Amino acid sequence: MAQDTGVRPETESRTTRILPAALRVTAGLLWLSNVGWKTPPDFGRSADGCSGLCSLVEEGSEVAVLPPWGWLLENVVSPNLAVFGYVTLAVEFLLAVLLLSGTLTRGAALLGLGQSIAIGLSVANADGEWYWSYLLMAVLHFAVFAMAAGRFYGVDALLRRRGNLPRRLEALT
Amino acid sequence: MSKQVRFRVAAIVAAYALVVIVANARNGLLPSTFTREWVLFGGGAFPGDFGRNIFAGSIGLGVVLLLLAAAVAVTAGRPAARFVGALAVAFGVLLVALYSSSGNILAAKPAGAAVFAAVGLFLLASSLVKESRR
Repeated sequence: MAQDTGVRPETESRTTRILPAALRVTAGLLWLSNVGWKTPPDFGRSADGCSGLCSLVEEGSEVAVLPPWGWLLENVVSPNLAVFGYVTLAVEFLLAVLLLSGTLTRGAALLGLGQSIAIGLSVANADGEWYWSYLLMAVLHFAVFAMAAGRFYGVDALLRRRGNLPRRLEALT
Repeated sequence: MSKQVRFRVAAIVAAYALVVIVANARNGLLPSTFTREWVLFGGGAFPGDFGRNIFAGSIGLGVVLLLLAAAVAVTAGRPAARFVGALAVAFGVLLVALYSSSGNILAAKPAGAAVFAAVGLFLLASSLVKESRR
């Protein structure tokens, strides 16, 4: 049986509660500030050329980190840019919503990790890009996952307080 | 849900709404085209680009956000929060679904839409926990 040592557990310190929440909100702001330039319906492809998401895909197919990834961008994503664009818009919108509100945060962090890796594999080698940006993006989401950051000042805290969450859903919080 | 939490969240949403109103003040009350002349966020990647992306919208969108802030202050943690929260999430999803390069209702971009949905989720979750008098 644990003895009362008079020392407060780390999770009761205000700083250790605020920092994971701040990290989570920062990740949310990252997606919030970048979701806007995925603009339907053409996602940057027009008769005049390619910009926005279109140019990211075109560039990615030329300088992808892994050759099979470049092949995928050129032969699967680029011909179906509209579908891919709507999926990207939906995923990044969802990431912003879930991370800002702290809802199902561990699930959102894994999704954000995947999206960061996908973007990094596409453009980390492009001119003017700093490949560490994408590694740091991935690490940011890994940290949010590791800290279960939605349990601090997030909707996950409210959901867990209520109890009787299904186990699979609880694992995502 | 304590009064303190309710008012803090409402204050954050109201502050966001006020920045949206001021930043987009030169684009009229109810525009459908996106703001080109910004009040707060001039050139440069940061804070210019960051601000233009995060606080995109219009005076009208800011006013609706202020109403949402008031709804948070009044309903969070109460049964009514379920209805208001669902409405906010639906409005956010509607805004992002209507988003296009040619414009949107209230000149909303996905960032503003995401704020509606995020606050809506908070309201929905708050309706699940018992109210505290603190």
